[in-house]
Amino acid sequence: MSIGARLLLCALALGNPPAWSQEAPPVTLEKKATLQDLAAELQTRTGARLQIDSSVENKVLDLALKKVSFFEAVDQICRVHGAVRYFEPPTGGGFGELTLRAGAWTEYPTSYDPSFKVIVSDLARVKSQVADAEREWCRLYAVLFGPPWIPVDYASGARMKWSISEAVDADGRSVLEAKGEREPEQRIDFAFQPTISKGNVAARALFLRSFDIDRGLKLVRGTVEATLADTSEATLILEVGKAVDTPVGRIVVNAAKEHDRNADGTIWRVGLTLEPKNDRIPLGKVLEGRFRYPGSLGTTWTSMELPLQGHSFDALITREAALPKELTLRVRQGERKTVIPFEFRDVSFKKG
Amino acid sequence: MMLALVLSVLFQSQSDPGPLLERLRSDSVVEREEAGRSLERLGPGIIDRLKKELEANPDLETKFRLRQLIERIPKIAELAKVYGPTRRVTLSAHDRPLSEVTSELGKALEESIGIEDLDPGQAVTLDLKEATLWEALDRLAKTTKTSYAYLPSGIRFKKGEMTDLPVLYFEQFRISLAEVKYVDHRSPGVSEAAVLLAPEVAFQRNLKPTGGKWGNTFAIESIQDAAGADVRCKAPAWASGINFARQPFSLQQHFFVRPVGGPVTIQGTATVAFSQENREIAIAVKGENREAETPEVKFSLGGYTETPAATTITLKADSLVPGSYERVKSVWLLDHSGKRHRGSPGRGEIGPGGFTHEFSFPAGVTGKEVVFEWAATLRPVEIPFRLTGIRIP
Repeated sequence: MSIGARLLLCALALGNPPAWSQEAPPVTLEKKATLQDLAAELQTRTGARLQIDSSVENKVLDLALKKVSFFEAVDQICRVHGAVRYFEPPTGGGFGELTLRAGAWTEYPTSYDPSFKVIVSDLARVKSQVADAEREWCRLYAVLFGPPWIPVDYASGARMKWSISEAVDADGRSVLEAKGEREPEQRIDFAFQPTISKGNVAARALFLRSFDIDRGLKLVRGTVEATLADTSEATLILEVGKAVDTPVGRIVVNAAKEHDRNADGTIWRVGLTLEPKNDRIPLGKVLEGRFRYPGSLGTTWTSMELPLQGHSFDALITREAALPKELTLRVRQGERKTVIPFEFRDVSFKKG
Repeated sequence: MMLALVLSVLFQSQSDPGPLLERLRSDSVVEREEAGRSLERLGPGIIDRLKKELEANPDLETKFRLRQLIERIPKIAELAKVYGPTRRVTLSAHDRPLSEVTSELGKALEESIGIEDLDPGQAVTLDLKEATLWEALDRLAKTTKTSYAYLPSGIRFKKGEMTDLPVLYFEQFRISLAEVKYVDHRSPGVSEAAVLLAPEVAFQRNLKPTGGKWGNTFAIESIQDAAGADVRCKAPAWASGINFARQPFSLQQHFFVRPVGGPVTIQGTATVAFSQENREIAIAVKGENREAETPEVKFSLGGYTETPAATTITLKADSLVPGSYERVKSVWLLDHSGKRHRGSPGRGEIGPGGFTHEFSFPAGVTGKEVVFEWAATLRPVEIPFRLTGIRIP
């Protein structure tokens, strides 16, 4: 979606963003400058694309940051400014870029890593009565923010394994589940995911034994084991027979047809086939489950389902009067695991 | 089967309800309950007699029971004609091993009843008179402090005592709550709690209802607290959708209520619909006429696309009645050699006025016709219910 004229690009000359396997360099920003200048400097130092909405007041901020991570730096800019933020429930961090928009900065319990940050977005206590049991437990809702250059969301194909090694309530009592213990079986569930679950984030509700959520948790420690990949983009002209070479193989347009029409516009179905370099690797490992196209409302991202077997797949474009000229896929390479530790102290939320 | 039903109806019509009407006024609650059940079994032939009893202005409880019988008996008779008789059991066990009781109960109810991690020798004392399947299972679970699962493979009794969720039995059906859930939530600036009630209607395994999976089983008149205030509310912003772990042989729905201290009463009607006639409807893939019509629904074929990944169609329905998507049982693509290829549902929109839904078929199939099975005649069973004393955990 185009954010077009309302955004000011902070810096025209961008360095290359770090590949995911590279940590962003630590940031030192010890100066008094306008928000735009500070954001531009952060962009230059980290390579991360930052945009500022035109409604944001370009205040002069006094920063004293020494060797902090990318997210620590952005958070501190927002905190000092007081009326700017880059995420708002239900959407978390940016994908490809971070956009600073006008709005009160909200503090969450946060744990920083050189490239990522993990927050606790919510706490909940659940009491359930089913036919054969009455149970009570708690949920800690954790959200991993990926920096703009590392996609961590579900559509990116990234996978997360969350684990908590220590969880202590306000009275010093461990509320960690026993080995093998899980959330009880439920017939119907709600509030099963964090209130921040969209954007470039991986979100998860973690099971804990019951505690007083108003008094919160004294300590929580754990890790997210993230399976991530480098990504590159491949743009196809939407004409039958056109193809693009990618690091994982050649992608060919087999079909580009009007499928149906409704009140919202036309539904176009594009048939694509990857001629893979390694045909044993499933599509979901080498392509992200999304694509973008230049639509009537600007750049539009759409998710797609990739089949578990075979290398042909369909991309569906909806609500467009005409078939877009091109479509861009994101190719995944070099999948590997990284462990992101997190630690929170005194986790609680003031009553609203 | 039909002969047995007819004989049973004849036999019932000849029975004298007099002694049972006397027992309806018994001092013993158990006797009154049993008398009510026995009167139900006598069928519609006793309705006039029940009305006369009612005109005689009996005490309040008897009035209530008579009115209930006058309302229920015709429904039960209708149900039995269409779906067969309710499974019932009469059993008297005094200090008998659990395994013997489950075996006897299984034979009487035509069910396979197993036990999991329970002592098969556990002594059981249980008296059942004309109990329905669900009453019998609940009574056995209560008396043995166990619970059970009603599964496609049979009934499994297991550890875990039944909780005090209210239950209403109506012939082949059991209306209760699948779950009552309370969630207290905190996030920056938000401190809120919400309660979810999930009424459920379970049915005998021989019944195969149509529809009900998309939240149209229960029409709720009220959900009230002890003071009579309606406590229904909208889903909180932090609810993040609803997940159902659906159980076989049951239909559920959900309603949010405000967290209140005292017990809650939910009242309404559960409607379970059964298909009496399935019809195949065919629509040509190509040509001018890509439509088909029934008295209630107009179908049309929206899109048809072949790609190397799949052949995809869009089926549309403009319907005068809700629940049309669930009446589409199976969808096939008929190729030019006459071979049928089963479709799997894809993306779609379902609304009260119809649906637009994609179905995909194996790649390489060139279709001549789209054929689908349609539940043409539905017979709804409406069960009014009132569940009281629902405790918020």
